[in-house]
Amino acid sequence: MSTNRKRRARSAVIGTLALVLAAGSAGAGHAASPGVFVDGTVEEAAPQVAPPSDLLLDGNAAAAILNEISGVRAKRYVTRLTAYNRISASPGYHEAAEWLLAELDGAEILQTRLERYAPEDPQPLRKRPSLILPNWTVRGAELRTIEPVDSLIVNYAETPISLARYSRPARVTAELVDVGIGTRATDYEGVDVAGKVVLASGFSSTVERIAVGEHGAAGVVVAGGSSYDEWKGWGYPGMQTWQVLSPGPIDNREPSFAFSITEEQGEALRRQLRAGEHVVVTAIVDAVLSPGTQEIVTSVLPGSSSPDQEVLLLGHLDHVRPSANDNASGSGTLLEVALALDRLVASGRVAAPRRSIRFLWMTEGAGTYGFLNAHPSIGDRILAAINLDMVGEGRLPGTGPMNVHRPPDSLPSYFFDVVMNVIDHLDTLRLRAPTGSESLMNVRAKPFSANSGHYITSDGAVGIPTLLLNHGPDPFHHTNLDAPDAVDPTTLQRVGFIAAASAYLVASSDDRTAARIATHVLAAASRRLADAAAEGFGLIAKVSDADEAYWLAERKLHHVGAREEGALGSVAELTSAAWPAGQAALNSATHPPADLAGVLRTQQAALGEALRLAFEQRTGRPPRARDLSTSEQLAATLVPRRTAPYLNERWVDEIDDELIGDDDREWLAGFKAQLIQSYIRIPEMLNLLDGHRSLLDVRDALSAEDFDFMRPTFGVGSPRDLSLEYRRTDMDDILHLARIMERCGMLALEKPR
Amino acid sequence: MRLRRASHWESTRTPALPRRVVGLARALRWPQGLITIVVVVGLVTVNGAAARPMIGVSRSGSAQIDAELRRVVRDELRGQVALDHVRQLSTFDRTATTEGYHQAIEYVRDAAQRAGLQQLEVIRFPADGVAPILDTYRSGWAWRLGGGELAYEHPDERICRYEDIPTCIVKYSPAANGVFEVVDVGPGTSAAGYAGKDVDGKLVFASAQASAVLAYAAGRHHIAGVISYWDNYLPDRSPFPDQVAWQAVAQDPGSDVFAFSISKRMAGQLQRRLAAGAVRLRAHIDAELFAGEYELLTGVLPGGDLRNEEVLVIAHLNHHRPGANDNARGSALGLEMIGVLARLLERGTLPPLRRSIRFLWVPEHRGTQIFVHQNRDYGERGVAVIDNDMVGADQAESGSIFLLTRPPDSMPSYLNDLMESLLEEVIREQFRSPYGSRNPFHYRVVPYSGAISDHAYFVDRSVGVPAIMLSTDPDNFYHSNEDTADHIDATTLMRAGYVAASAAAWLATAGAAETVPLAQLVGGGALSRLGSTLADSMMRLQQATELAPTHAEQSNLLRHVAACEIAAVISVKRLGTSPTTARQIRIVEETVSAQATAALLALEHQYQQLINSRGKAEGVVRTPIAEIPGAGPAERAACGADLLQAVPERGLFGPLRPSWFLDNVEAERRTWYEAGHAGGSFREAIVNFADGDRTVTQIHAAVVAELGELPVSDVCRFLVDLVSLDLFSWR
Repeated sequence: MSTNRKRRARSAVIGTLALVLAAGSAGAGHAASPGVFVDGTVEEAAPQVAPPSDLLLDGNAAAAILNEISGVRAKRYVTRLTAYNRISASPGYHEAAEWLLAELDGAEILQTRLERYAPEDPQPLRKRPSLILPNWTVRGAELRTIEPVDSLIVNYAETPISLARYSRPARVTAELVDVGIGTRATDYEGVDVAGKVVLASGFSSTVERIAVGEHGAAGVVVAGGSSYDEWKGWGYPGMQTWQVLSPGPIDNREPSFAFSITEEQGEALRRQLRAGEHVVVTAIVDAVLSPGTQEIVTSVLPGSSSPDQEVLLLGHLDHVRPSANDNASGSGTLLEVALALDRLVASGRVAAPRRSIRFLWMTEGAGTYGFLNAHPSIGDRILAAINLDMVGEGRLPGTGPMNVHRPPDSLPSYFFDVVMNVIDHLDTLRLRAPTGSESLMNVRAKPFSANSGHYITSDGAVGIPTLLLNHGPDPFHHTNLDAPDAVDPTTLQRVGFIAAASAYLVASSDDRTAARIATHVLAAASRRLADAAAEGFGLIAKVSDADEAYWLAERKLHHVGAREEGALGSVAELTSAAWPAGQAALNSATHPPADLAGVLRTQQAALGEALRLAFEQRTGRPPRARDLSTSEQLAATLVPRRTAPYLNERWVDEIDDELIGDDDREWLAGFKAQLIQSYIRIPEMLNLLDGHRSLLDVRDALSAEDFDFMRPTFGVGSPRDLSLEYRRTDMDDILHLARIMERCGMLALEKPR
Repeated sequence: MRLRRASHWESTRTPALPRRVVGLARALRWPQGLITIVVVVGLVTVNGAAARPMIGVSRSGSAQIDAELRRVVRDELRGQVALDHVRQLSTFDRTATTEGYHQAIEYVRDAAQRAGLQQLEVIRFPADGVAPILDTYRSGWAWRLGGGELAYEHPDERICRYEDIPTCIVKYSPAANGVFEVVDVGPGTSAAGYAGKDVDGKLVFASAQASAVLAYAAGRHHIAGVISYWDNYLPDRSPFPDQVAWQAVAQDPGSDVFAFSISKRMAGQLQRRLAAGAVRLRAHIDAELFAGEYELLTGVLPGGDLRNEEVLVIAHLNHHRPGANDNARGSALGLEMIGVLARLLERGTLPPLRRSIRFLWVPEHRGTQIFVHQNRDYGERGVAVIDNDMVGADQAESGSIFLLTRPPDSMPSYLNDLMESLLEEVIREQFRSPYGSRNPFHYRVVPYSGAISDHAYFVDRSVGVPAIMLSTDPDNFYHSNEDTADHIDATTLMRAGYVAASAAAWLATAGAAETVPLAQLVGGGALSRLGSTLADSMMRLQQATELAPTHAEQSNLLRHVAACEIAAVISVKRLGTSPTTARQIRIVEETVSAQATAALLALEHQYQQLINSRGKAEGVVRTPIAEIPGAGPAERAACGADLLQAVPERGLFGPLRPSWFLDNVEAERRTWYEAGHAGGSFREAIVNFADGDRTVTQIHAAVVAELGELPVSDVCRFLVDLVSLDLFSWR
C-alpha cells in the first residue's frame, strides 16, 4: 500500500498558482473619550480586533466561527461526559456514546453514525487479529478495614478510579501487609504475604504479578501519587491514580484485583501497620469480564463539491471517570465544533465547505484500529487530521503548555502550517470565555510523538497527516483530580476555534486559498530549512569527527529539504487541477512565474554550500566523500518493499516467533528493550519504505528526523547526540531487523531494478 | 441579617423575685448582689462563651447523638458523590418550569432511585398564574427561555449571549427582537436620570436592579427594555468585574418590556461608547410566559413503627445556570445522604428507622408552598425540617461562612441546639473529605431572618414544624454566572452532609429515652444564652442614660428569652415521652426556669443599685415604672384598652403573603403600610405569635423582644385589618 496514494493531486501544479494574497483591512478603532467609567477605567479599551489579514482563513468565515464557538458550552459538554465511567467497551462508555448521539441528533446537516466492532470482524490492516478490549462490567466494589475499626476506605460507585481496571471478582477478608513499592523482589524478603492483601506504591499490574502471582497474596492495594513517578506526593495527598491489570491471563493465571487509594489514606494505613496494629481489610469486587464490542461515533458535515475529500477531527472518548481533560476535553470540544459548524452552515453564516469535515469519537487505540479496519481505504479520502487529546487545561500549578505535535516526516504536509497559522493569531484575536482564565495560551510546536492515537492515523498504511494537540505535562493526568475544575473554558474556546478554523479552511479551500497556503508553507519551510542548517553548523563546530558531523549535517539538510518540498507539494491536493500523483513529479521549474519549490531548492543549495564552507573553515580542507561501512554499502543496494498490509506501528505483533530462530528472538528482545520509548522510530522506518528509497536512504532519513519521546528522561536519543543517534538506528541493527521482517513476510528486500 | 439585640427594650412591669431564689438567699443570708454574681459567673464559666453570644458558642457537643451513629455516618460521607452531582446539575439551566428544570428533576429522580430512595413521586402543579396555593398565595406563570443575545450594531460585536452567560437574560423577561438606541438613565429609579431625555421606544441603561427600573418606568415612560448593571447586593464589585448578576423582573404576561443584566466591565465599555456618540444595540430574547407546570420531586427512606412521622430534608433544585452553590449543592447533598443512609441501613450498621426520612426537591418558595398546600396536616406528620440551601462552598475561595438559621422565636425548638452541637463537633474534630480541602470550618448560628428560603413555610404557626436552614454567607459568587461548580469543596459538602444526615438519622430513630439527653443539651444551650443575654442586658443598663425604659426593655427581653428557652426544652417531647422521661425533662425545665428567674433578679438588683447611686448623685430617689418600647400611654390609647387585652385567633392557613395582603387591604391602609408601618418581618412575627392565647399586649411584647421597637398601636391596626380580611377573629 502506498504511503502517498491519495496524494494524487500533489504535483507541480503548485508552481502555477497565482500568488493572490488578499489584502485585509485592520479594524477601525473608536475615538477615545476621557472620563471615569463604571469599571473604573479612564482609557478607551482597544477595539475588538478584526481577523487579521495574514490569517489564511477568510475574514468573514473566521469572524463567524469566532462568534459561534463557546468555551462555556464546551465545558458543559466536558462536564456531562465526566459523569460517565468511560471504560472502553464497557457500560459507561456506551452511555457516553449514547449521550453524544443524542446531542448530535439536534444537528441539521451532520450525518452521524454509531459503529460497533466485534472481535470477529475482519481486520484487513492486521496480519494477526488484534485483541478487542473486553467488556468489564462492575456491579460494585468496596475496600474497607474491619479491624481495628470498621471503616470505609474506597467505594467504586463513589470513585470508580478506586478499582484497578480489569480487576477480577473477589470477596476477601485478610490481613493487610506493607510491601513498600512492591515491584522489586527485595520488597518481599522476609515478608509473608500469602493469603494477605499487600499495600504497595508501585504500578498495580507489576505489584500484582509479583505479590499474587509469585508470592500467593490475595490482592493488591496501591496508595497514592501521580502516574508520573517524579511527581509523586508533590502536594496532592488526596490524589488517586488510575491503575490497571491485564485484561487477559498473565503467566497462565488470571490476575486478581487491585484497589487504588489516596497517598494520605495509604500513609494512615502504613502508620497503623508500623505501630504494630493488626489491620484487616475486606475487599469486595463484583465484576464481570466478557467479550467486548468497540463503539465509535462518527459524524460528517458533507462537502458541497468534493464530499469524497475529508478533513478529520478526532478525539478519544474513553477513560475512567472523571478524566475531564483526558479526554472529555477533546471529546467535548469536538462536539462543540461539530454543532457550531453545523449551525453556521445551516444558517448560511458560512458557506458549506467544498470538502467534508468528519468527526470521530472513539476509544484510544482500539477504537481507531476498529475504525480503520472497518474502513480500510478511508485514508485515501482524508486529507489531514487533528487529534484532540487533553486540550482543556488551565494554567494550574505543574501544568505545561499546549503542545502541537507534527505528523511524522514520512508524511510531509501543509497542514501543520495551516494550524499554526490559526494558533499564531490567538493572542490578537483576544479569545476569552466568560468564567474562563485570562492567561495567554502558551503553545509549543513539537515533533512527532507516540503519546496519543495520532500515530495510528499517521501510520504509513493509513497515510493521514495527523496533528496532535495535547497539554503536557499535566500532573492530574490519570488521577481522580483530573476533574472538571481543572478545565478552563477559555482553553476550550481557543482549541475549538483552532480545530474549527483549520478544518474549515482546508475543507473550503479553493485555488486562490491554496495559493495563499502554499506561500505560507514556503515561508515556514524556509525558516525550518535555515534551522536545519543552523543545527548543522553546530554539529560541524562541536563534534570531534568533523567529517561525520558534516555528513550528518548534510543529510539533515537534505532530509528537511525533501520534507519541506513534500509539504509544499502537498498543497496541490487542495487545487482543482488533477495532476498525477507523486512528489517526484513536482517540477515547478517548468511553471514560472511562481516557482515556489525552486525558491526552496535554491535556498537549500545555498545552505549546503554554506555548510561546506563552514567545514572548510574548521578543517582547512574540503569534506571527504562519505565513508560507508560494509553494512551501509550493502543497505545502499537494497530497496525494501512492503509485501503485506499491516499497521507499521504494530510491527511487533506482525513478527511471528515461529518463523525466526532462537538467536533472532533473543536479539529482538534485546533490541526492543533498548528502544524503550523511542520505539516509534521503527514504525517510522517502515513508513519511509516507498519502494524507491534504499535501506540506507531510510536509515539516513530516520537519523535526521526529530522525535518527541514521551518522557524526556528516555528521550536521550536526541539527534544532537551523535553517539546515541548511531546506537539507536545503527545500520547493523536495521539490517538485522529488516531481515527478520523479511522472514515474517512483512517486506521484501530487493536490489534496485 | 438582623441581630437580635440591636435595639432598646422596655418592660411594663417590674418582675417579682422568684420565691425559691429569694428564699434560698435568705436561708444562706446572702446579699442579693452576691446571688447575682454567683448566677452570672456560674452561667458564664460553665459555658465559657459569653463574649460572643450566638456565634460559635462552644458546647459540650453531640454526645446526645449516639457516637457510633455519628462515626459511621462521618465515615461513609465523602462529599464526593455530592460534588459529582453538583457538577452535573450545574450544567442544567434549572429556572423553575423550564425544560432545563425538568431535565434536572429527571436527573435527580434517577440518581435518587439508584441511591435507594423509595416511593419516588413527581408532584405537578399548574403554573398558570391563577391556581390558588395556601390561603394567600397563587401560582405564577411558567417561563420558557430559548436563548438570547445582546450586541452592538456597529461594529457588529457581541456583549453577551445566553449560551455563555445565562444570567445575561433577566428572569421572566418577555421576548425581544430588534435594534434599539441606548439611553443612560443613571440608576434609572428616579426622575433625574430621565430628565430631558427621550426614552420612548429605547433601551435604558441603568445601574439599579432591572425590576426597580421597570417598576419606576411603568406608567411614566414607554421604554423598550432595560440593561441593568446592578451590583448584586455588593456595593463594590471591583474584585469581580465580569460577574453578571442574576436578576428577575415581576411576571407580567401583558408586558413587552425586556431586560438584560450585564457586568461592570461590559457596562464600562457601553458607557465609553455612549460618551463617544449614539449607540444602538441589537437585542434578541426568545422567551415567553405561558401556562405550564411546577414540578416537585419527593421520596422517602421509609420508617418502621412511626413511619407516618417524617423528618424532612428539603432543598430547592431551581435557579439559573450554573447556580452551583445556589443550590445545586443542596440538591446534590440530599443524593449523597440518601446513598449513605440507605447503604448503612442495608448493612445493618444503622438501626432501622422508626420514622421516615422524606427528601423533597422543589422550586424555591413556590414548591414548598405547594407541598404544604397539599399536606395541610404536615404539622402532625413532620417532626423536623432541614433545609439545605447553599451548603458546599469552598470556604476559602468563596470567602464564606456556614450558617445555621434558627427557627423564629414563635417556634422554639430543640432542633437548632441539636444541629449546633453537630456543627461544633465539626469544629472540634476538623474532619474532612479524603477528596476535599483542608480548610478549617467556619460557622455561625444566626437568628431567623424571614422568609428567605423554604424553611419559612414550615415554621409558620399554622403549619408548625420546626425547621432550620443550612446555608452560606457571604458567597463571592452568589447569584451570578460565576457560581460555578469549580468553587465547591468536597470537604464542606461532607461536613454539611454529616450534620444533616446524622441529625436526620437520629431523629428518625429517637424515642422517649433519647429526649432526656436532648433536653439536657437544649438546657445547656438555654443557660448559655440566658447568661449572655443577661450579660448584654446588664451592660446596656449600666450604660443607659434613661434607666427606666432600658430596664423595662431588658427585663422584657430576659423574660422572652426565658419563655422561648423553656419552650425549646419542652419541645423534645415531640420525639416521645414516658413518665420517667417527663420527670427528668421537668428537672431541666425547672433548672432553666430557676436560672431565668435568677437572671431577672440580677438585673433587678443592678437596676436598684443604679437608681440608688444615680439618685443620690442627682438628688432624686425614685423607682420609676416604665413601659416596653412602643407601649407608652399614647400608643396604648391609640389601641384602646379592649383591644390591648383582646386575643386574636387565627383562621389563616399558611404564611401571609406580603403582596396579597397589600393588594387586599383598603387603599388608604395600603398607603399606611407602605409608609413603613408594621413592616414585613413584624407582620410575619405578629401572625406567628398570635397563638390563640396571647393578648395583643403579649404579642407586642414578644415581637418587640425578637425584632425591636414597634408601636403597640401598629400591632392593633394590623390585627384589625387581618380580622377585616377574615384571616383572624377576636376570641
